[in-house]
Amino acid sequence: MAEIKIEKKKPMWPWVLVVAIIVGLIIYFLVDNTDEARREVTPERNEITPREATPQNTVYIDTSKTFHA
Amino acid sequence: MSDKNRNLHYLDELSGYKVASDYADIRGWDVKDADRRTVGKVDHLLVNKETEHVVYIDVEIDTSIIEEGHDPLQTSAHDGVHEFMNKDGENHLIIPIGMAQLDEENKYVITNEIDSSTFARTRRYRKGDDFDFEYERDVLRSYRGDPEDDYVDEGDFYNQREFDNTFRRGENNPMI
Repeated sequence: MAEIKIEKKKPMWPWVLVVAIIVGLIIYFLVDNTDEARREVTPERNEITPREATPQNTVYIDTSKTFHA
Repeated sequence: MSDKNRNLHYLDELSGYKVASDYADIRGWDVKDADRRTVGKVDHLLVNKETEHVVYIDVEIDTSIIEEGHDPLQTSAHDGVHEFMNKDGENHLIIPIGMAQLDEENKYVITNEIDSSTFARTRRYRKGDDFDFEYERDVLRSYRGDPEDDYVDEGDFYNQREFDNTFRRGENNPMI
């Protein structure tokens, strides 16, 4: 005697959702990394290079002179 | 076909259901009679959605069997059953699942209790047509070869041994 049972099909939408989330994350990280790399390569405009600091009030000591108390 | 009273549906029409993973999907398999002669092919499965079981195998009968049923020289031990005439295009019939055995290795269905001449004499229907409870009773009488078969009402009809498919796996079997 044969027996054949049937069953409800498992819904597909959870898998579709998981795949969509994974694809979304991959795209997000790819775009983010590309932006970062571009930022590292291209120097920023209007960048101000600080000049070497020149002290305004420099006191030179004349070592040829001797001081007597 | 969707008969809510008997809860019979073609599996193909139930988009949310499929054959359970541990069971063979026999659609497309050959059907062989008691003499191992091919009598047709499984076209559909008729299922009860509530019990989640196949109730009938819907078979598309070979033309050779149909022609045999039309043989005017056929002698007639069973002519008493012949109170109908199968019409052109009526080439489907149903087999209660409990009267079928599956050869899963070779992918065919065997009906050890039914021979090809019984198939030829049995009332058929046209693919896609609905059939009523009376048709089911006629088919079962034909397979049993007893036109005077006792009347079994609809409530107990599917509890008969021809529909009993629980023994193969030992469910409800007092012998195991």
